[in-house]
Amino acid sequence: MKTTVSILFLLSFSLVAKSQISLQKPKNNLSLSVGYNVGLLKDENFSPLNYSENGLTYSIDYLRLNPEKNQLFKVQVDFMSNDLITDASSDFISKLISGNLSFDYQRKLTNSKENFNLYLGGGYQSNINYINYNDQDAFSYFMSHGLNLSATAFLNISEKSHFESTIHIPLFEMVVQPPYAGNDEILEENQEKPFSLITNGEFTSLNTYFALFWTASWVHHVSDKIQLRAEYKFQYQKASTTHLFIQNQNQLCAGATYMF
Amino acid sequence: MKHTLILLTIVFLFSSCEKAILGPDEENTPTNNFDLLWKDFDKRYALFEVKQIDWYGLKTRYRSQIDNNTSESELWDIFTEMLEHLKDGHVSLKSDNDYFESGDSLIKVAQNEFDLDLVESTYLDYHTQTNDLGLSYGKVKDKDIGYIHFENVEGDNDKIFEDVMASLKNHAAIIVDLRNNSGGDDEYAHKIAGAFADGEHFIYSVQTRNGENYGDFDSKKLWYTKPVGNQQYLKPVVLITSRYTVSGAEILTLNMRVFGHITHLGDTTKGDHSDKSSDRFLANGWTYTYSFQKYLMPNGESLEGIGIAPEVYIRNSSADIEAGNDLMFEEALTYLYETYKI
Repeated sequence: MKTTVSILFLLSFSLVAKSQISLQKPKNNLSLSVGYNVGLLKDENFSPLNYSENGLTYSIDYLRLNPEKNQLFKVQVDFMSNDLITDASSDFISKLISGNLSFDYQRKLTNSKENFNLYLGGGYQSNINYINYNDQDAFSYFMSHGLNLSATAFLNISEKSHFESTIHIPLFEMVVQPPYAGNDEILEENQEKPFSLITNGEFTSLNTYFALFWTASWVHHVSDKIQLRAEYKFQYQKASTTHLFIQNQNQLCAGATYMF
Repeated sequence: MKHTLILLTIVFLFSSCEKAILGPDEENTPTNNFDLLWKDFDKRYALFEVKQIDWYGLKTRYRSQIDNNTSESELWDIFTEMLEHLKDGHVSLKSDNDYFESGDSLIKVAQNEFDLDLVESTYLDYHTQTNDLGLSYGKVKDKDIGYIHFENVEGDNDKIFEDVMASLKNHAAIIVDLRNNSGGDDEYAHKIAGAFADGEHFIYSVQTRNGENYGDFDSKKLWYTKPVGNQQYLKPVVLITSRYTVSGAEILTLNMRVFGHITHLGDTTKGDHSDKSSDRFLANGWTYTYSFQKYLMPNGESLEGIGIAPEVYIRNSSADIEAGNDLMFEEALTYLYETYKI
């Protein structure tokens, strides 16, 4: 509920503000943000039960805008370590560790240098989730690596602030999950070879894996070099490959951007 | 923009609704908990065919005893009675107050047929406990024979075992005692055996269940012994086992008994070879585990539920132990003397 109120508050800014400036930005933006995740998870390899996710999330991203060539390049790294909680028992509290790495290249579709700019392109994204109960008495993981369609929109809402929104839709993905039995000789043999494990997956179609990653940011311009950010991130993944996996995350984050 | 706001509000409301996203959670009722457990075993347990278990027959027999008025303790009794048919030490059930392991009656008997304190006080000059809690070693009184006891096979630090072997390597023989050993890590078992390896031998194959049919398994992974470390101990060794030599300790036994200089003495091991699954969860807060693999010997035979028979059979009774006599240990000494004059 808190997240809902907060994001509506943020969005209200974008509704009432009138844009006055064009989006002429410095080329490089380095952002750091910290937030709180409230999510839901079901991983049938791990458990038949429904779980909720709660905990802090951290993000760092680098954005390079090239107004002359109408290009955008972005690298983003997210990390979180959350508790997984189920109604069945307080003893079942588990740990969810997630990481996300994405590279995006997009080109500007709009010609104007005024209020609204839209970029469209694609990129690569790796999303990793590892679940651990009671020092690996039970464990599971879900990873997706692949190419996605991405778009970013910038909307100036005042001289001192603008609104950003980014969306990623994975298209060609390799999904990595534990084997049918949850474990096997290959997994045990490669426990100390993480690269082998995180790439031991199968390619999927949209029928067996669907995901959506959406970020909405309100950005306040403190100075020519510094911006403050308030963000809402929505993530949804559903895979029905080896095991059913569904995850939904809602994150509210605050951060700062250094421009150079 | 109003439309965007409405859309976002809908997204938020949607995302806060667990049922809409994940589907309904599992009901915590006795019947549903039974169904969860039974179906999970049905889909993943690896040894129905090897152990010739009529799992559907057991469902018919026990499901009918449950309704939604069944109490927790009644449900516990029904679950454990059903799982006891599997006679598999890797099948367990755990509640807040109770723990059950299938087929542990042999262990309960065997654990009273060995006493490490008796071995220490009666047969050893010294006995040192290492920093690996399950590993201790010593020297036999008046004999040039070293002694190693493993309480489990879960060493965290390879160096500790290497130091033990360095301490004992000059003895004319070593007794490796795996009695009252609860098992552990197969990888560690391979490492220990590697210190005694006289070469590469095919010891067993492993297959993991990978489908809904009881006969669905992945391809065989073949396991071979292999020397580990710079130097192997190739002088006479007697390996002692009992019915309380379980799981990882049986993997160690399978490794060791193929070496020409090692004699396997004692009682048949427990017969729990498969790795144990991760903890599985029930809606009433209980957890359980099971076997998800099939181990086959080089001749294609499975020893699950049967155990590994020794070359020289001897077994203590609890009365022997109470009287201060470890007949199995004494037989090991006799064997080393009669065969090697050690």
